[in-house]
Amino acid sequence: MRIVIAEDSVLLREGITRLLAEYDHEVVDALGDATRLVDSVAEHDPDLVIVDVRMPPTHTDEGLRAAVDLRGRRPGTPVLVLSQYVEERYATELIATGTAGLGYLLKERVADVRDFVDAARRVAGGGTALDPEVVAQLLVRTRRREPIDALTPREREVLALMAQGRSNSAIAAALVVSDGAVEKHISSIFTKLDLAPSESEHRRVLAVLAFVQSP
Amino acid sequence: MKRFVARLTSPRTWRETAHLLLDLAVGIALFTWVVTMLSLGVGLAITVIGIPLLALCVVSGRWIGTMERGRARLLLGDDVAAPLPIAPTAGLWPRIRSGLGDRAGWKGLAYGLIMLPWGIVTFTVTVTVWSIAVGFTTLPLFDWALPDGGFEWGSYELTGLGLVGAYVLTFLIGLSCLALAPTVVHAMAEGDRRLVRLLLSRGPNEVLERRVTQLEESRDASVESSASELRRIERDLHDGAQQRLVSLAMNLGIAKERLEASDDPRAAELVGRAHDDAKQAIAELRDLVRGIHPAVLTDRGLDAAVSALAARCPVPVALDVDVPRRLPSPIEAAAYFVVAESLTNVAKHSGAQQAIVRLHERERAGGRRLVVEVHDDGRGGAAVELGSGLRGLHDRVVAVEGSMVLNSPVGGPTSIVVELPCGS
Repeated sequence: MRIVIAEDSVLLREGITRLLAEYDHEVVDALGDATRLVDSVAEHDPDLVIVDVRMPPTHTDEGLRAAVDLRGRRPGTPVLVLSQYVEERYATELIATGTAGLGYLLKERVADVRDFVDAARRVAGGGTALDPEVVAQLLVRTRRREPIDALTPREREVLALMAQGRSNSAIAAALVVSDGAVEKHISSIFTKLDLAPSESEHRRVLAVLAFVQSP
Repeated sequence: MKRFVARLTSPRTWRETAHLLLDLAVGIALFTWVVTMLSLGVGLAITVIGIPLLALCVVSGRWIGTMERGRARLLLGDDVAAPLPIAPTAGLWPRIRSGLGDRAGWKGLAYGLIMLPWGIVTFTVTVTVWSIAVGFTTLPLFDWALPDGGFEWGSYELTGLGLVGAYVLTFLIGLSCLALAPTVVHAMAEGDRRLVRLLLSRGPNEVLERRVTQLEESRDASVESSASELRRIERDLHDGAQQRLVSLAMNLGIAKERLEASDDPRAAELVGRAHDDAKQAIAELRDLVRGIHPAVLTDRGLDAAVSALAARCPVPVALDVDVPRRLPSPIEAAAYFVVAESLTNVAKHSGAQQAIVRLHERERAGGRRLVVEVHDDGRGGAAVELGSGLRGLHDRVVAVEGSMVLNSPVGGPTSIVVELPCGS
């Protein structure tokens, strides 16, 4: 993969670059802030953009602004957003740009080297990688709604993993159950949430999030 | 007789007389000053210099106080405590504002206005009483020198007293005035004293009020400084230790992957353990920061920060936040702490199936309040005295002048309702 990264901490920028190089991915441009991100992406046409939310000059959400802007100008550009914390509005704004090729992870997840690289690959391939905390926060907002209340705790776990963009077998591995059990849970979830089942993982995420985000 | 003379010759009577006689001149001067300054200030209020001029005018009420307290001390023997000085403020505009709102100044101005009519009364009565007293008793001594055949007797012929009789009568009138004069003077001087005490003295609660203001200010300052200290610690941890730990864990992760591919399982295991420790340290550090003042609270406010708390709580939480604006940082920090601590208790001790967190603003008699409610359907029996967590929560709420009501009968349910002042 060819990757453009924007991260203001030199330590993390170099660390992530090294990490990606370890897995034979090339960081073609490493930026210290978000101002030149759009230009850099236009110049290098990377397979993936990794961007930190909080960067100079204002240290608020310029990374997120740049990511949303970038996906507005070049729809479908795979972007993996790293954040110190999870914020529902950030997630909502990102998801509004489409969930294909979108990642939103807590910064500290880079410590789980292999998971992080997997997430990066998934996003670059047009998939979705949402942090478990992002999903939990999106779900807490909807707990008042009855259909979600109807889910069993296990189904809730499956839904959360699904929303992270995991495949059935990945969910089965994470929960230490069989693939068949996961499929049963998923069809039960779809029934309870009144969602038409679908084969595509991407459409599953979309469906879950559409439900979660609906007013 | 002795008493009569003593009263007349007492220095007190003469000092008071002097004070009363001065009242008119002082009254005229003060009245002129106050009316001129006030009308100038009010008239020019729409221009730039009017407001400062008005503030100056109010402050001049304090100068009037200083002068008049001095006069009262000298001539009335009345030592009245001065009002406390205006609390010092920095900057021109705050100074003007505190000048305009200065109660002691306004009271001084009122004194200046009242002094004119009062001075007319005291001056006239004093002059009249003393003139009759002295003039009538000594009339025969100078009657001959008066022009146009002496004192105008009016209709004394009609009284049929004759000249000597008239002299005796006026002497008696003069004498009774002389006897009366010290009493009249004392009475009016008492009026002067009361005016000074009423309008120019330190109020009975002034020292206490000032102390309360000072304590409130110092309390606010310490609450604010501890809040900003927490923000700084969070910032430093994030920029320093956290980043370095993440970098360390990342490098250990890379090393682990490499060693697993090599033929040194012992080294791979050691590095793997170090990697786990580093990740654990990251998690612990993050939880620590979340417990004090997370960045999401600083950057994004209560709604976002409380949502994160609710999302992490192992017990399902129904969340209802209606706080559309940012509140003062110490209040946000306290509200966050209340929810964090309450949800920790819910998760640890309550055995609840469900919790409800509600945050909204309410108009109360003492101003707007942020109401923070946390309810759970657990087993109850919580008390501030029992848990150090609840104690800390209570202290935190009290520090920002909030109130806390804990209702947790044995058997449940538990509800904590906290109200925090949140400005206008």
